[in-house]
Amino acid sequence: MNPLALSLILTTLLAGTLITMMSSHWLTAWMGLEMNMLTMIPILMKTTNPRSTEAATKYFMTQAMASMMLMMALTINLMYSGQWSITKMTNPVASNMALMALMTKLGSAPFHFWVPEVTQGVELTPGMILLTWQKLAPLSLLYQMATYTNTNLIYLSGLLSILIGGWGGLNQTQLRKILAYSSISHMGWMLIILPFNPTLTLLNLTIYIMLTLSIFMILTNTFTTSMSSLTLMWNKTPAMTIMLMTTLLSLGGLPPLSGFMPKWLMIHELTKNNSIIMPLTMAIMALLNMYFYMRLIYYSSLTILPSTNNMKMTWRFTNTKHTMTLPTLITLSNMLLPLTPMISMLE
Amino acid sequence: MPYIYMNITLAFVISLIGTLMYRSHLMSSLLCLEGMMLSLFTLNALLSLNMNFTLSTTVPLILLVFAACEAAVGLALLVMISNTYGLDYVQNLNLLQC
Amino acid sequence: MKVINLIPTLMLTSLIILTLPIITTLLQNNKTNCFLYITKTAVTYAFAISLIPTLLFIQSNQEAYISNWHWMTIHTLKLSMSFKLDFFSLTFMPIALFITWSIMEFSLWYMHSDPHINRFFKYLLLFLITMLILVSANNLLQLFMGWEGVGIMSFLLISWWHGRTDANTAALQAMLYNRIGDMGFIMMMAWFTIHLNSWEFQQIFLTNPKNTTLPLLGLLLASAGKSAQFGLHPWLPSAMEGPTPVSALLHSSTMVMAGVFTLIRFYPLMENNLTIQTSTLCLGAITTLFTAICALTQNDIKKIIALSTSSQLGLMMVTIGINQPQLAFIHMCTHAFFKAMLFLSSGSIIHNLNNEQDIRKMGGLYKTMPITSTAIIIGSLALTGMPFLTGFYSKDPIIETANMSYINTWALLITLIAVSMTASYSTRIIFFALLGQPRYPPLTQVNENNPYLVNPIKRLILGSIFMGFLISMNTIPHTTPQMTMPPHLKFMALAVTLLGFTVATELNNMTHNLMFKQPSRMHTFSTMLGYYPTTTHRVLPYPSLTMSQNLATTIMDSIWLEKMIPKNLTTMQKTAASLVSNQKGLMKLYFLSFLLSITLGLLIAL
Repeated sequence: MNPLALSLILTTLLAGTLITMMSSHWLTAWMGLEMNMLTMIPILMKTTNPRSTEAATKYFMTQAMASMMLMMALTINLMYSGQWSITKMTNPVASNMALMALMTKLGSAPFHFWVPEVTQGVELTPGMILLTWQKLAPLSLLYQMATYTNTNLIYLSGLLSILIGGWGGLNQTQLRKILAYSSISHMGWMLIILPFNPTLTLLNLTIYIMLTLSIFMILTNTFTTSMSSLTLMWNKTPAMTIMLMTTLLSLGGLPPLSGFMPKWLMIHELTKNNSIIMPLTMAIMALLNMYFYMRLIYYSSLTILPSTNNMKMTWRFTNTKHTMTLPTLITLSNMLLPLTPMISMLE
Repeated sequence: MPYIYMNITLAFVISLIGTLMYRSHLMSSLLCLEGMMLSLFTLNALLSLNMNFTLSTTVPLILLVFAACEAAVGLALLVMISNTYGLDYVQNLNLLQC
Repeated sequence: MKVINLIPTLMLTSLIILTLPIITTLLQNNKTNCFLYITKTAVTYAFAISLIPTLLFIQSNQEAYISNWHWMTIHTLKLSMSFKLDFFSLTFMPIALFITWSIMEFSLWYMHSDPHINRFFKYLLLFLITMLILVSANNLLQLFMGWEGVGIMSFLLISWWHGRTDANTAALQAMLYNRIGDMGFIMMMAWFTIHLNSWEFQQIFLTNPKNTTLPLLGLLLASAGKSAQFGLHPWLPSAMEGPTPVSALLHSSTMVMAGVFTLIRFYPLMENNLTIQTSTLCLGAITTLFTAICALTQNDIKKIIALSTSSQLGLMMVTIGINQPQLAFIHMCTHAFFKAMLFLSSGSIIHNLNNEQDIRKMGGLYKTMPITSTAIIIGSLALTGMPFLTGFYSKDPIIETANMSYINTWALLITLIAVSMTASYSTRIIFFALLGQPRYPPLTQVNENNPYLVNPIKRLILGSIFMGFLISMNTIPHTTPQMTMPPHLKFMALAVTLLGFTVATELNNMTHNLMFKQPSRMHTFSTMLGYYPTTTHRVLPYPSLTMSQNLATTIMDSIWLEKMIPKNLTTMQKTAASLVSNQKGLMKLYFLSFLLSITLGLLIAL
């Protein structure tokens, strides 16, 4: 791609999200979303092949549809209340419609179908942007309108997301799909805590983005996209398989790692609000996710699959790839748990 | 709700249902998207005129601009797809199934 | 009067001396041999010191309580450590110490080749300490601590030779039967907490609550478990698997006496409750008869003595049942002497005959082991209540009182029969083990010239002759004794004993002349301990165990743990996973589902 065009596209992508996050007016927020969506299409089609075209088309159709619905919700809200303020979605029809539009943009449960397919269709880097950066804008909008959302819809969608994220990932061998399903279930966790404590949603988003970034970067480093190539990763980067293991465990939310922190705080918050059944179900359903992370771990680092002798040499070669951010990210995504008291102080 | 708003909302809903349910040509889906956009444009214009939201009079224009961008992107994708498959059937897009 | 103040001090000193050997094990490596002598000496000193308060008590007749350490308060229930030094505890403690001293000295000889003899002595000492805690307790919690301590130490001691299956089984039996009794004890404690909010004896007896049938039934159950009364008795004969000193201690002054002692402790409540008295009487009568019958045909010398203990315990229960706790207590004290002596003598015989316990393979020992034989004869005579030996002073009043009181004839009759059987089985031991020709292997080297063997037996012989007189001399009767009675009732006790002797001698003589053809059913019944252990340990548990095993394997393991949970879950997850991720990749399908969800979502809002 033309570097000039690429820089323009990336700038617009970033600007779109930033505009959405910083605006308090629905129109500018919507404009940011639109810019973001429109520039995402060329990024998805970085390498042009039928698969990426299809992914881009699906992404475009769903996102455009969601944008239209969001705009309709805004217009209805304007019709009834006469204002564009994001924090004041007083009309229930408008707020529900906007909620569903944003859920479609996030890819949470009943509107999740596009996520695995689009992620599978594109390359690793666009996939990484899709699963991390693209969540920021819709979630920031949800964070602002959290007080006027319909809680039942949110619980329903959240629980369904966790469940579907767990079940969907069980059947996959493609790493991008697995990560997409893991993103769906994380969206479920974020949505459920939204009516109780929106700050925790942001915390969860931060940690989730760090974890997903590290995993995607590790995978990008070796161009691994499926479980079968994951089994050969120990030949190339033995140290990184271990990092992948801990990061996956962290993504599953195991205690000494930082992925445990948001889950712990959420369950704590929910139980504080006398809700026992819901966190219990969520924690049990998170086991499904844990199961397929464990499968990845098993194939990548717990077993040593046979390989030809010349492949075993590869780890001795000097690594020329840029892995500057990776150590920081992995450290953050594994060792953040001791900072919990500080973070819970910030609430 | 005045009849005119209802009428336009109905137009939006029908285009939405068209997008969600139409199943053969991608072109028609894009047209339905445009229909949604157009109904939104009309609705916003009417609202700002009827209710004297002077500050909102730019909204329809901005909507039109984004509609044009969307249409451009959509048409580009349409061209790509018809290049690849020779047709613009939506059901051809099934490479990414699990 | 100042001297009286010495009672608690000296008693505590004596108790503290007992704990010293336990503390020394923390300080030094106890592989050295001196631990044994330290322990024995400590018990001796404790005995000597504890005699002073007892004599003071006899002289001044003043009881004492020590209650100074407040332990904790649960709501309004105050728990403190307190000792009750009344007639019962002050009389029993020196006796227990004296007997333990003798037994420990005997153990030096009997257990000298045991590699863990230090631990054995420590166990014996702990056993004694827990018993003394029980005896001197002034509240139910402390009593319960002693009670459980005695139970656990008896478990450890019975399974001393834990390499033997029988020893383990016997220890487990003791444990399990005692647990059944503990249920009663805990129920009683709970009842007192609920109704009186106190575990202190003084408060319980002062309040003197009504409707005490339930807690006292619990207490009776507990005592029946601990003192091996009918129904919960099979552990006592089995406990003979332990070393002989353990049996001696267990049967004379510790474990089995705990049950009777606790019942005696609670006599202020029992004397007002006729239901409990009758139950105790009947239970005791059945026990004394049943175990006497069982003792008649046993061939194991220790088992005979063990069953005779059980029979004597039944007699004590009968005495409590006729509301004579003091008599029961005196019988308990006197019985301790001759029963310890009988066990020590039988230990001497067993050890000398190379661990031979069968009385059919003994015989003629009165020539080779004169001291042991003397001890066995004196002990047996004391056990049967020969006049002016120790047993006479307790057994004779018991039977006289029973004869003169309003008790049910049935119970009285079977008690009398059991008393005559006592004489029979005692004669049997004497006849088979001591008289006649030797039937043991000729190369057995029999000798009894070790002072550790002879001295304790000698001491206990003295005790068995004089202690009954001394104790009954120095006790003030709690209830009015029967002063006048017709001569046939006065001689009843003696008469039944003589009857037993005569019959036993006749029967035993018959064995010289008659061929013993086929064991009769009665004989088998008696040898097999009335088929009771077979029934309760085999016939009843077997179907329930098989049923439980089948239920466990089929229902629990196969259906629940395998099919229901793991397999079912797997199938469910598999189906759900393939259902969820099985998208056709077609936009029209998922857009349709979007449409449905959006419609539903908007319907929620409307």
